[in-house]
Order: sequence, then C-alpha cells, then structure tokens
Amino acid sequence: MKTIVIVDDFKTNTVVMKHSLHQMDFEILEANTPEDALTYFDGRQIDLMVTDYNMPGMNGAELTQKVKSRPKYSNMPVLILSSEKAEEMKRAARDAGAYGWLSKPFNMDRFLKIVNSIFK
Amino acid sequence: MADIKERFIAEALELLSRLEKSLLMLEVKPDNILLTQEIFRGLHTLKGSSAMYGFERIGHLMHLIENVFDKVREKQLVADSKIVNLALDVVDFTNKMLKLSDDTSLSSQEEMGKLVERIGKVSEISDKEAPAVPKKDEEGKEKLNTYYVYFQLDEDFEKRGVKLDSIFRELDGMGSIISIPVGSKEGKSSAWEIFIVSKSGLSDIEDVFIFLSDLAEISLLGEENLFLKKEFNSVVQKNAALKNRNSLAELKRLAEQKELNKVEEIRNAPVIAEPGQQSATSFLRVAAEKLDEQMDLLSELVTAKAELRLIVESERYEKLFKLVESIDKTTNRFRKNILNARLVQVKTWYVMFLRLVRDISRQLKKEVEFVAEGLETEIDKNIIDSLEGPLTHLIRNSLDHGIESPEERERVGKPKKGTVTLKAYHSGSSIVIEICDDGWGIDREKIRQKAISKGLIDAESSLNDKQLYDLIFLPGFSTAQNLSEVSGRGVGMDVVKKAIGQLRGEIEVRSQEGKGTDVIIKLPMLLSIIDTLLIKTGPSYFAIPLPDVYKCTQFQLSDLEQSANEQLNVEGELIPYVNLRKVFGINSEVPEKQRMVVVQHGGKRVGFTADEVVGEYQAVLKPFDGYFIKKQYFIGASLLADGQLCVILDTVKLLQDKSNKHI
Repeated sequence: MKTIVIVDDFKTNTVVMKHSLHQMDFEILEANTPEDALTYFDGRQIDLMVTDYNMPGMNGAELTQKVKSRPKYSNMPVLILSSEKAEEMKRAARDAGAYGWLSKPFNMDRFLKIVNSIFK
Repeated sequence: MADIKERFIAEALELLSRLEKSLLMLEVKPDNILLTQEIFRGLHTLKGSSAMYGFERIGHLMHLIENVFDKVREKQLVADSKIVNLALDVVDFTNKMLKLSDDTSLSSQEEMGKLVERIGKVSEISDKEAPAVPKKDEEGKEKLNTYYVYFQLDEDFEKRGVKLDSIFRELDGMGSIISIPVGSKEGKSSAWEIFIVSKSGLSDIEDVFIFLSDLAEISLLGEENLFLKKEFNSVVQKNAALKNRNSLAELKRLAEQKELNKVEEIRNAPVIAEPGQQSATSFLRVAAEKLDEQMDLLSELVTAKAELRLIVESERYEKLFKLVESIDKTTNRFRKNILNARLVQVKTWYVMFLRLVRDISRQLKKEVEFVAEGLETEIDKNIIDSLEGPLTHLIRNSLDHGIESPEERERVGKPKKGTVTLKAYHSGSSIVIEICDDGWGIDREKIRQKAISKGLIDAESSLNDKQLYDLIFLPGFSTAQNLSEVSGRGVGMDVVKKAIGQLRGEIEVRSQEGKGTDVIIKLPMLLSIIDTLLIKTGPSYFAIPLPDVYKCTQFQLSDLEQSANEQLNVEGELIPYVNLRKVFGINSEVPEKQRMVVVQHGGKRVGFTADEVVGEYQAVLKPFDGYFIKKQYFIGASLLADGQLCVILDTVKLLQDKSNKHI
C-alpha cells in the first residue's frame, strides 16, 4: 500500500483529502503544521507528499526542500496545493523539486486523478 | 457531504474569529508586519477553501480583500481605520453567510455588492475579474471553455523528470482533448497542438504545465465548446490532416466569429464527468443534556460506591479493599472527564467584547481600551452562554455611563484613554467575573435623590454604600441623564441581576467616585459532586469544599473559652474563627480537645471549630428546597454512605459575614 503524507493548516482540507484517499486504499499520514509533517519523514517509506503552499512558519516549497534534503526522500514526488497565482511561488515550488501544482479551489475528483496519475 | 460542509463552517468561523482579533490588533499597531502577514494568510486560506465547500462568492470576496492586504503587505497601502473597518465588515458579512450556510441569497448579493464596491474604492482595483462562481448557461449547466496549447519538448525534458503520459492523462481527466502531433524528431513527436474542451478554468490548465511553463503556450480561445462551430471545427480538422500548425491568430478569429450553423455533434463530443461525490466524515458533537445525564448517573454511582466502601470497611472484607480503591480512582477520573468535556475557556468572549468596546466607544466618541485577565479560566459552557447577555450589558453601561469623554478625563488629570477590564478567576468553589472601569464612579448622592424621587426610599433613611448600590438593581432605576441608545432605558440592571440569580450567583457593585466602578459577579461552580473535607461537631456533619482548606490544627477547649473576639493564635497568626456550635445552635457536650479547619479565601483566613475531622469526602450535592434555618450558609446537602445527612458549608459567605462581624 502506498503511503501519502498530507499537510494543510486548514483541518477540514486534510480531513476531506484523507477520507477521499483512504477509499482508494492509500495509507494516509495527516499533519496540520509543516513541523508535524517533518516528523513523518523519519526513514519510513513514504510515496508522496501533498502539501498546502501557504502555511505559518514554513511554506510548501520550503517544506519540500527540507523533506527532499533527507536522503530517503530526494526522489519522492511532491504535489503542492495553492490558491497562489504568483509565478515566483510556482518557480520556488519547482526549484524545490515539486512534481505538480494544483490550484485551490479544486474538486476532489481532479485531485484523486492527479494522485493516481503520479503512481501510474 | 453535509457533515463536511458543517465542519468547514465551524473551522472557517474559528478562523474568522482569529482574523477579527488580528484586525483589531492591527488597528492599534498598523505597522506590525507579523499581524499583516497573519491576516493575509487567514484571508488566503479562506479564499482557497471556501469555494471547495460550496461558498464561491465568499471565496471571491476573500480574494478581493486579500488583494487589499497584499498591498498593505507590500507597503502600497496603510492599514488605516478605513481598511480595518472594511475588513471587519467583510468578516461580519462572511460570518453571517457561513452561519446561514448560504452565500447566494438575493439580499446577501446586494450587501456583497456594496462591500465589493468599497473594496474597489480602497484598493483602486476594480472588480473586473470574473467572479469565482462558475459560469452557468440557461439550463444551469456549467459552461465549457476551449483552450489551445502549443507544447514543445526541449532536449533534456527527460532529465527534468517530465512524464508525458501523465500530462496527457491529466488533461484527459479535465474534459475532452484533441492532441495533434506537429513536429517530430527521429520518429518521435516533439511538439503537439492540444485542444481542450473543459469546464476547468485557465489556471487549472496552467497548473498541468506548471513546471513546463517555458515549453507550453496556453490560450483560452473561447468560453464555449468551439468544436460546435462548423468553420472552427473544419479548419482544425483540415490542418490536422495536413499536419499544419494552426495559427493562434486565425484560431482566435474563428472563435470570435458569429456562428450561423452549429454542428449537430462532433465525434469527440466532450463527455464530462460530474465532480465525484465527496464522502462524509464524522465528528462528534454532544448535546449538553446528554452530559448532564451522565453526571446524574455518575452521582448515583458515587453514592453507591461510598456505601460499598462503608460495608467493606466495617465488615473488614479485606479482599475487597483493593477493588474499592480502584473503583474510587476510576469514578474520580470519570468525573473529571465529564466536567472537562463541559468546560470552555473564557477566551471565547474575548473577541466579542473587544469588538463591542471598540464599536461602542467609537459611537460614543470615547477612547477606551479593553483589557482581559484570566482568559484561560475555564467555565461550564452553560454559564458562558448565560453570561454573555448580562456581561454585554454591563460593558455597555461602563462605556456609556462609566468612562468619561476624553476631554473630561484630561481635565481631571486622567489618561485620555479609559480602560474597561474583564477579569475572570476561580475563587475557592466559585467563579468570579469582574467588569471594572476607571471612569466617573457612581455618584451616591444622585442615586439617593433618584431613589427618593421614585419613592423607593424615605428621605430620612440612611443607607450604607452596599444598600445604596443595590438600588441600581431595582426595576426601572436609571440615573443616566441622557438616555442613550447604547445602554438603553434603565431596563438593564434588574434583568442582569435576575440572570445572575438564575445561575445561583451574586452580583455586587463597588465604586469610588472619580476613580471607577467594579461590578463583581460571583457564581457557584455548577458542580454536582465536590471534593470536601468532612468534619463533625456534636452529632452534625459538615463538609468544607476541599479547595478552600488552608490547614487543620487542634487546640484545647480552654483556649476557646479564653480567646478574645473569637480569634485564635495559629502558629503566630491571629485567625478569627467561626464557632459552628454557636452559629448553628448545637448544644451537645464539648470535648476537651477541639479541632480547627482554617479556610482561605481572597487572601483572608477564617477557622471553623470541630470536634472531629473525619476525612476527605466526595459530596454529591443536593440543593435545598424551601425553608431551612441558616440556609444562606450552605451550598447544599449530601447523604453520607451510612444514610446520615451532612451539609456543605458556604465558606465564602461565612468568611464574609465573619469579617463584617455579622456572626
């Protein structure tokens, strides 16, 4: 079973994502702060991180960079969710090694399709 | 789905309340960058999430106000009171829409229109951007857009980790696509023209190519399915057959052309899936009554346990001792759990009152700061709810009648800005809430005259301060010279008193002319089980709430008989004591050795005499009904395990009366 870490400081979002992904038989680890998310990357197998961009303390790109600097996770795909439109944010995300970007608001269908396409 | 929406609303309301607080703080410190960032982030989160849970219009509004704060963040705008006011109004409006769980009503549209207009004026951004509401045609279906993407791969795309098939798969998932390979290298395609007919917005398409933005040109050709246009369709098909690249200008021209004959249907007619139903999740809300019922059941359990303990101890069933201990521990934890589930921090009031003080002081043209102490104090949810109205009234009163105008304050040498303070704390077994202001104070003479003119007291009657202040709580009493719309027409204070009375609480006014007024509300914790220290005097059992107990000591009867003014020296400190025999008329023989339990409250100490200190006891509280001598000194009564009655002493009341020499 694939393991996905989802990070969003707006709890309802993680709850909804978790629930939708659960039904597709993914193992979900949920965090509402970037700091909490980092604790999951302790060497265990994680196949994808889905993270919000705009969070207190650390943005999604910075989180991606931190995670990817840990040896086991340098090639793990990262999907960033954001309602940011600014190009420099997207560039920051790309430079940090993010795999994809999904604009909020998005519908769950599309979200699930993208997650599935990453594993295909 | 409904659950998720509810959950979203609850979380969004919480976020709004934090936003409100930050906005109010920003008003005081307009250059605080951290606050601005926090506000920006809050708005941003709401913007992104609202639309996902069916509040597109709120999302749009958040987007507009976020732009304003973006400019504040970039120092292009200053967060003056105009902007803060506007943002607060947006917060209020959003609050209202969320509570109605609907942001589409006609009346709200009008209100929102006004807000949008105001935002436009402040930020000089006109609302040209399309609202975030998906466009719908007459039949209510979401409209389709046609996009054109020219996508060319570069040499090292593979190194960059680009997965071609996943891009096409993602596009395919958004609607229907026609992809036409237009360039090839060594038999492999290296460039494509892609037409996408989809409900998705331009930004969704851009997201797909987000990390390939230098390789892809994306254009929105039209807000409809252009393949239904005959000429557009045939040009695209023809070029595809000839492997000619379309010219964007030509495509755009065709897209804008007036359509004469629509094609009935095309082969690749877009089939667009409805958004999948989001699945529900569960979160728990418990009706307060259910918790009350649990508490009742637990009370019965505690009584049964006490009986069991008595039997086990008197019959010396030693094998059962351990079991009784463990039942003891578990019921204790159980009780704490239930109580905790009902507790809410006073913090929930903070933002509401902060806002109240701000809005009303403006209305009155006064400068007032709101200070709160003890916000982390936890109080039963019922009390929090029932106090909201009375406290609102008291704060309004302080602002209206208490705090002077800035000019007046300056004249008498006070700081221009007045202060209204909310204090909350536990004191022994009660909860105390104070509303204090540093204003005029109460004019005793004015109250006196008023009371005389209303026939409430005789001209000759002499009243002490407390009696005089108590007049304020009589129905119809008001001394305000100008009845203002803020604190109403003197219907308030009696209603406040009544509400406090219903909570079995007391309200007291203390005032110093020229210095200010304190209104003190004291409420018993509405606990039905309290930890007590059980004492016995003569044949009677008394229970003293354990949190109040300071120390236990013993002395000789002769000490008692020799003491002056009912005070005893306890380890170097003269402590007044209450002789329970005297107060409650107990006439049995007095043992030579006497005990004393010293109770502490608000810095004052008082002792209670006893023949015997029995030990700790969990009292299941039963309130008194009807007539009972000296009832005012009891919180309630409780049945001991052997069926005897014990009364629980209201130590606070006894201490007060002792220091006022009433007993």
